[in-house]
Amino acid sequence: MDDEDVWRLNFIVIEIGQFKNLRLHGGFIIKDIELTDEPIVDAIGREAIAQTSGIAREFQLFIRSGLSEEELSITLYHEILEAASVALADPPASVIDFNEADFERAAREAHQRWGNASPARLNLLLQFHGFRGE
Amino acid sequence: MVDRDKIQFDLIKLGSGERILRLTEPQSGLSLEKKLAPADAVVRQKEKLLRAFEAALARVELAAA
Repeated sequence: MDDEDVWRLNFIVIEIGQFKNLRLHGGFIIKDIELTDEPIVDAIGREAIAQTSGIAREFQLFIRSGLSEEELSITLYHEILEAASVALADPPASVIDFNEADFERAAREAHQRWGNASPARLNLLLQFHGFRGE
Repeated sequence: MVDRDKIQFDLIKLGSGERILRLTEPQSGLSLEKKLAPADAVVRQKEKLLRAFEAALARVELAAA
């Protein structure tokens, strides 16, 4: 592998900092996002891959590091779409009947359709599923 | 009466693939969680959990009054 290949490999990695303090379509805000090497463990010892916390429309995401780029992208699409649906008292009709597998399918479809998650693509996802507002 | 906008939610994806929804009232620290049924709509499960949580918070407030 020459230097150009190494640079190209680094270039495609999702830069997680671009999602911090990010305002999203629908009035949502990602206040913080962290990839962590430490196990995400709750009070009774269950280990998690990802955790999204929210108050009103403000979200905070913790994701275990070590996911492949594709897994990270799908996780971001999944976490944001599901958190936005849970955060609202009256979410769009298109997501009201979504179960866990539906959110995962929508995230995988978003990744296939638009590629790696980015701020613009998270907005596309929310718009695509009927979220309205700034 | 609890302000819904002040209730924190946590969506936790476990290593086993299961999903936990936890609601927390930050002031009292009271929380309630449920393992989400994979075949059921997430939004409806959240509404059901939220109603149970609001009822529990109301009982705590009543007991404290």
